[in-house]
Amino acid sequence: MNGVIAPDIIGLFSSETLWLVVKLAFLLAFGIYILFSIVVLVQIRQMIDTLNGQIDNFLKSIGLLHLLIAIGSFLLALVIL
Amino acid sequence: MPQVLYDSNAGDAVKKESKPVNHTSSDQSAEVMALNSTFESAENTGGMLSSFLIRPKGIHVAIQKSDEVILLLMRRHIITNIGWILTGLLMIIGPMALSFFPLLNSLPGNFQLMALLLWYLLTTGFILEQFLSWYFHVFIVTDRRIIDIDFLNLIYKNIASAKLYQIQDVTVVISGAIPSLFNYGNVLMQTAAATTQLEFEHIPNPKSVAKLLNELIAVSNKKQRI
Repeated sequence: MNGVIAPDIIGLFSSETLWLVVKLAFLLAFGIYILFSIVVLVQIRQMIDTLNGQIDNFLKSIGLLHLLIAIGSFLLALVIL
Repeated sequence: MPQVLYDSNAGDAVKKESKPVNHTSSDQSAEVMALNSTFESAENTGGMLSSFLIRPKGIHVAIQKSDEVILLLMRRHIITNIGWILTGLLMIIGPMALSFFPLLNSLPGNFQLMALLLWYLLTTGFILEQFLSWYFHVFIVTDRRIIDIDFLNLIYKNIASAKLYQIQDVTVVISGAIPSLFNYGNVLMQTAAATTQLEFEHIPNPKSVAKLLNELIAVSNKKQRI
Protein backbone atom coordinates (compact mmCIF):
# COMPACT_ATOMS: atom_id res chain seq x y z
CA MET A 1 0.00 0.00 0.00
CA ASN A 2 1.48 3.25 -1.04
CA GLY A 3 1.30 5.80 1.78
CA VAL A 4 1.61 9.47 1.15
CA ILE A 5 3.65 11.14 3.72
CA ALA A 6 1.80 14.34 4.50
CA PRO A 7 3.94 17.23 5.60
CA ASP A 8 3.70 17.99 9.25
CA ILE A 9 1.62 21.11 8.70
CA ILE A 10 0.32 21.10 12.20
CA GLY A 11 3.86 21.01 13.50
CA LEU A 12 4.65 24.22 11.62
CA PHE A 13 2.16 25.99 13.83
CA SER A 14 3.59 24.84 17.09
CA SER A 15 3.18 27.30 19.92
CA GLU A 16 6.89 28.04 19.87
CA THR A 17 6.87 29.05 16.22
CA LEU A 18 3.66 30.99 16.64
CA TRP A 19 5.00 33.07 19.50
CA LEU A 20 8.19 33.66 17.56
CA VAL A 21 6.10 35.09 14.73
CA VAL A 22 4.17 37.23 17.21
CA LYS A 23 7.47 38.41 18.72
CA LEU A 24 8.77 39.35 15.26
CA ALA A 25 5.53 41.25 14.62
CA PHE A 26 6.01 43.21 17.85
CA LEU A 27 9.64 43.94 16.99
CA LEU A 28 8.61 45.12 13.54
CA ALA A 29 6.00 47.42 15.08
CA PHE A 30 8.52 48.87 17.52
CA GLY A 31 11.05 49.23 14.72
CA ILE A 32 8.60 51.18 12.58
CA TYR A 33 7.82 53.36 15.59
CA ILE A 34 11.53 54.15 15.95
CA LEU A 35 11.52 55.38 12.34
CA PHE A 36 8.47 57.52 13.12
CA SER A 37 10.27 58.97 16.16
CA ILE A 38 13.27 59.86 14.01
CA VAL A 39 10.98 61.64 11.54
CA VAL A 40 9.36 63.55 14.43
CA LEU A 41 12.76 64.66 15.75
CA VAL A 42 13.98 65.75 12.31
CA GLN A 43 10.77 67.69 11.70
CA ILE A 44 11.00 69.40 15.10
CA ARG A 45 14.48 70.60 14.21
CA GLN A 46 13.42 71.75 10.77
CA MET A 47 10.44 73.65 12.11
CA ILE A 48 12.53 75.27 14.82
CA ASP A 49 14.87 76.45 12.06
CA THR A 50 11.83 78.00 10.38
CA LEU A 51 10.21 79.44 13.49
CA ASN A 52 12.38 80.17 16.53
CA GLY A 53 10.54 80.44 19.81
CA GLN A 54 11.20 80.32 23.52
CA ILE A 55 10.42 76.65 24.02
CA ASP A 56 12.67 75.35 21.24
CA ASN A 57 15.05 73.54 23.59
CA PHE A 58 12.12 71.97 25.41
CA LEU A 59 10.64 70.69 22.14
CA LYS A 60 13.99 69.30 21.01
CA SER A 61 14.32 67.53 24.36
CA ILE A 62 10.84 66.07 24.03
CA GLY A 63 11.64 64.82 20.55
CA LEU A 64 14.88 63.24 21.72
CA LEU A 65 13.25 61.69 24.77
CA HIS A 66 10.51 60.29 22.56
CA LEU A 67 13.11 58.67 20.33
CA LEU A 68 15.02 57.24 23.29
CA ILE A 69 11.82 55.76 24.73
CA ALA A 70 11.05 54.17 21.35
CA ILE A 71 14.52 52.62 21.19
CA GLY A 72 14.26 51.47 24.79
CA SER A 73 10.92 49.85 24.11
CA PHE A 74 12.37 47.98 21.14
CA LEU A 75 15.25 46.68 23.25
CA LEU A 76 12.84 45.72 26.02
CA ALA A 77 10.73 43.80 23.54
CA LEU A 78 13.86 42.05 22.28
CA VAL A 79 14.75 40.92 25.78
CA ILE A 80 11.47 39.98 27.43
CA LEU A 81 9.54 38.48 24.55
CA MET B 1 28.54 97.65 8.07
CA PRO B 2 28.07 94.20 6.57
CA GLN B 3 25.09 92.28 7.89
CA VAL B 4 24.49 88.57 7.92
CA LEU B 5 21.17 88.13 6.20
CA TYR B 6 19.11 85.13 5.31
CA ASP B 7 18.64 85.18 1.56
CA SER B 8 15.65 82.99 0.81
CA ASN B 9 16.46 83.03 -2.91
CA ALA B 10 19.97 81.69 -2.32
CA GLY B 11 18.65 78.98 -0.05
CA ASP B 12 21.50 79.38 2.42
CA ALA B 13 22.54 82.07 4.80
CA VAL B 14 24.92 84.40 2.96
CA LYS B 15 26.90 87.40 4.03
CA LYS B 16 25.83 90.47 2.18
CA GLU B 17 26.98 94.01 2.14
CA SER B 18 23.89 96.01 2.71
CA LYS B 19 22.85 99.37 3.97
CA PRO B 20 20.45 99.33 6.87
CA VAL B 21 16.97 100.22 5.70
CA ASN B 22 16.11 103.79 6.57
CA HIS B 23 13.07 102.91 8.57
CA THR B 24 12.18 106.28 10.06
CA SER B 25 10.64 106.27 13.46
CA SER B 26 7.43 107.69 12.03
CA ASP B 27 7.21 104.87 9.43
CA GLN B 28 7.61 102.12 11.98
CA SER B 29 5.43 103.73 14.58
CA ALA B 30 2.55 103.96 12.10
CA GLU B 31 2.30 100.18 12.09
CA VAL B 32 2.70 99.96 15.85
CA MET B 33 0.17 102.73 16.34
CA ALA B 34 -2.28 100.81 14.17
CA LEU B 35 -1.61 97.73 16.31
CA ASN B 36 -2.08 99.62 19.57
CA SER B 37 -5.27 101.29 18.42
CA THR B 38 -6.75 97.96 17.34
CA PHE B 39 -5.79 96.02 20.44
CA GLU B 40 -6.02 98.68 23.11
CA SER B 41 -6.72 96.46 26.04
CA ALA B 42 -5.49 93.16 24.67
CA GLU B 43 -2.73 91.39 26.50
CA ASN B 44 -0.58 88.45 25.66
CA THR B 45 -1.85 85.58 27.74
CA GLY B 46 -0.87 81.95 27.93
CA GLY B 47 2.79 82.55 27.24
CA MET B 48 4.42 80.87 24.27
CA LEU B 49 1.56 78.41 23.95
CA SER B 50 -0.94 81.17 23.33
CA SER B 51 -2.84 81.29 20.07
CA PHE B 52 -2.73 85.09 19.96
CA LEU B 53 0.50 86.97 20.66
CA ILE B 54 0.85 90.73 20.24
CA ARG B 55 4.42 91.93 19.60
CA PRO B 56 5.80 88.55 20.72
CA LYS B 57 9.29 88.61 22.15
CA GLY B 58 11.90 85.99 21.45
CA ILE B 59 10.32 84.82 18.22
CA HIS B 60 12.04 84.88 14.87
CA VAL B 61 11.04 83.54 11.48
CA ALA B 62 13.69 82.29 9.07
CA ILE B 63 12.43 84.52 6.23
CA GLN B 64 12.17 87.58 8.47
CA LYS B 65 14.35 90.54 7.54
CA SER B 66 16.71 91.96 10.14
CA ASP B 67 14.61 95.06 10.89
CA GLU B 68 11.22 93.53 10.28
CA VAL B 69 8.96 93.59 13.33
CA ILE B 70 6.47 90.87 14.12
CA LEU B 71 3.24 92.58 15.15
CA LEU B 72 1.01 89.54 15.59
CA LEU B 73 1.65 85.83 15.86
CA MET B 74 -1.46 83.69 15.75
CA ARG B 75 -2.33 80.04 15.83
CA ARG B 76 -5.62 78.23 15.49
CA HIS B 77 -7.85 78.91 18.48
CA ILE B 78 -7.13 76.60 21.39
CA ILE B 79 -10.67 75.23 21.21
CA THR B 80 -9.88 73.61 17.85
CA ASN B 81 -7.65 71.18 19.72
CA ILE B 82 -10.52 69.68 21.71
CA GLY B 83 -10.97 66.85 19.20
CA TRP B 84 -7.51 65.37 19.44
CA ILE B 85 -7.22 66.10 23.18
CA LEU B 86 -10.35 64.06 23.85
CA THR B 87 -9.15 61.33 21.50
CA GLY B 88 -5.83 61.27 23.33
CA LEU B 89 -7.55 61.02 26.70
CA LEU B 90 -9.68 58.16 25.44
CA MET B 91 -6.57 56.39 24.19
CA ILE B 92 -4.94 56.84 27.60
CA ILE B 93 -7.84 55.40 29.56
CA GLY B 94 -8.74 52.86 26.85
CA PRO B 95 -6.71 49.97 28.31
CA MET B 96 -8.80 50.23 31.48
CA ALA B 97 -11.61 48.76 29.41
CA LEU B 98 -9.58 45.56 29.22
CA SER B 99 -10.81 44.66 32.68
CA PHE B 100 -14.30 44.45 31.17
CA PHE B 101 -13.25 43.13 27.75
CA PRO B 102 -10.28 40.80 28.30
CA LEU B 103 -8.96 40.96 24.75
CA LEU B 104 -5.37 40.26 25.70
CA ASN B 105 -5.97 37.35 28.07
CA SER B 106 -5.00 34.85 25.39
CA LEU B 107 -1.48 36.33 25.35
CA PRO B 108 1.23 35.46 27.87
CA GLY B 109 2.02 38.12 30.47
CA ASN B 110 5.11 39.49 28.74
CA PHE B 111 3.23 39.90 25.46
CA GLN B 112 0.40 41.68 27.25
CA LEU B 113 2.90 44.11 28.75
CA MET B 114 4.50 44.84 25.39
CA ALA B 115 1.10 45.26 23.76
CA LEU B 116 0.20 47.87 26.39
CA LEU B 117 3.56 49.58 25.91
CA LEU B 118 3.04 49.70 22.16
CA TRP B 119 -0.45 51.15 22.66
CA TYR B 120 0.88 53.94 24.91
CA LEU B 121 3.72 54.65 22.49
CA LEU B 122 1.17 55.10 19.70
CA THR B 123 -0.87 57.36 22.00
CA THR B 124 2.21 59.46 22.77
CA GLY B 125 3.08 59.72 19.08
CA PHE B 126 -0.45 60.78 18.23
CA ILE B 127 -0.58 63.49 20.92
CA LEU B 128 2.90 64.77 20.07
CA GLU B 129 2.18 64.95 16.35
CA GLN B 130 -1.13 66.79 16.92
CA PHE B 131 0.50 69.27 19.29
CA LEU B 132 3.38 69.98 16.92
CA SER B 133 0.95 70.48 14.03
CA TRP B 134 -0.92 73.07 16.09
CA TYR B 135 2.16 74.77 17.56
CA PHE B 136 4.08 75.24 14.31
CA HIS B 137 1.08 76.12 12.13
CA VAL B 138 1.28 79.88 12.61
CA PHE B 139 0.02 83.03 10.99
CA ILE B 140 2.20 86.10 11.28
CA VAL B 141 1.59 89.77 10.59
CA THR B 142 4.71 91.91 10.44
CA ASP B 143 5.10 95.60 9.70
CA ARG B 144 5.76 94.66 6.09
CA ARG B 145 3.87 91.49 5.20
CA ILE B 146 1.78 88.57 6.22
CA ILE B 147 3.27 85.10 6.56
CA ASP B 148 1.42 81.81 6.64
CA ILE B 149 3.44 78.84 7.87
CA ASP B 150 1.50 75.65 7.25
CA PHE B 151 2.73 72.61 9.09
CA LEU B 152 -0.22 70.35 8.58
CA ASN B 153 1.55 67.12 9.40
CA LEU B 154 5.02 65.75 9.76
CA ILE B 155 5.78 65.61 6.04
CA TYR B 156 3.99 68.68 4.72
CA LYS B 157 5.30 72.20 5.22
CA ASN B 158 4.40 75.31 3.24
CA ILE B 159 5.49 78.90 3.85
CA ALA B 160 3.61 81.60 1.98
CA SER B 161 3.94 85.34 2.36
CA ALA B 162 2.63 88.48 0.76
CA LYS B 163 3.61 92.10 1.24
CA LEU B 164 1.00 94.31 2.82
CA TYR B 165 0.60 96.55 -0.22
CA GLN B 166 -0.14 93.45 -2.33
CA ILE B 167 -3.22 92.60 -0.31
CA GLN B 168 -6.28 93.62 -2.26
CA ASP B 169 -9.12 92.31 -0.17
CA VAL B 170 -9.65 91.14 3.39
CA THR B 171 -12.68 89.01 4.26
CA VAL B 172 -13.70 87.65 7.65
CA VAL B 173 -15.68 84.44 7.95
CA ILE B 174 -17.09 83.32 11.31
CA SER B 175 -19.28 80.33 10.70
CA GLY B 176 -21.01 78.23 13.31
CA ALA B 177 -22.19 78.44 16.90
CA ILE B 178 -18.90 77.49 18.55
CA PRO B 179 -16.76 79.92 16.53
CA SER B 180 -19.28 82.67 17.29
CA LEU B 181 -19.25 81.78 20.98
CA PHE B 182 -15.47 81.65 21.27
CA ASN B 183 -14.83 84.47 18.79
CA TYR B 184 -12.65 82.71 16.26
CA GLY B 185 -12.85 82.41 12.50
CA ASN B 186 -11.06 82.73 9.19
CA VAL B 187 -9.52 85.80 7.61
CA LEU B 188 -9.23 85.43 3.88
CA MET B 189 -6.91 87.70 1.92
CA GLN B 190 -6.81 88.12 -1.84
CA THR B 191 -3.38 89.25 -2.92
CA ALA B 192 -1.49 90.30 -6.01
CA ALA B 193 1.45 88.15 -4.95
CA ALA B 194 2.48 84.78 -6.35
CA THR B 195 0.12 83.20 -3.85
CA THR B 196 -3.14 84.85 -4.83
CA GLN B 197 -5.00 83.85 -1.72
CA LEU B 198 -3.88 83.48 1.86
CA GLU B 199 -6.08 82.39 4.70
CA PHE B 200 -5.66 82.68 8.44
CA GLU B 201 -7.73 79.76 9.70
CA HIS B 202 -9.59 79.54 13.00
CA ILE B 203 -7.73 82.48 14.54
CA PRO B 204 -8.94 84.36 17.62
CA ASN B 205 -10.34 87.89 17.21
CA PRO B 206 -10.67 87.68 13.42
CA LYS B 207 -12.54 90.96 13.09
CA SER B 208 -9.85 92.84 15.00
CA VAL B 209 -7.16 91.18 12.89
CA ALA B 210 -8.98 92.21 9.71
CA LYS B 211 -9.28 95.76 11.04
CA LEU B 212 -5.55 95.83 11.77
CA LEU B 213 -4.74 94.45 8.34
CA ASN B 214 -6.81 97.14 6.65
CA GLU B 215 -5.00 99.83 8.61
CA LEU B 216 -1.60 98.31 7.83
CA ILE B 217 -2.50 98.04 4.15
CA ALA B 218 -3.42 101.73 4.14
CA VAL B 219 -0.08 102.64 5.75
CA SER B 220 1.82 100.41 3.33
CA ASN B 221 0.04 101.79 0.27
CA LYS B 222 0.78 105.31 1.48
CA LYS B 223 4.47 104.44 1.77
CA GLN B 224 4.49 102.94 -1.70
CA ARG B 225 3.09 106.14 -3.18
CA ILE B 226 5.82 108.24 -1.51
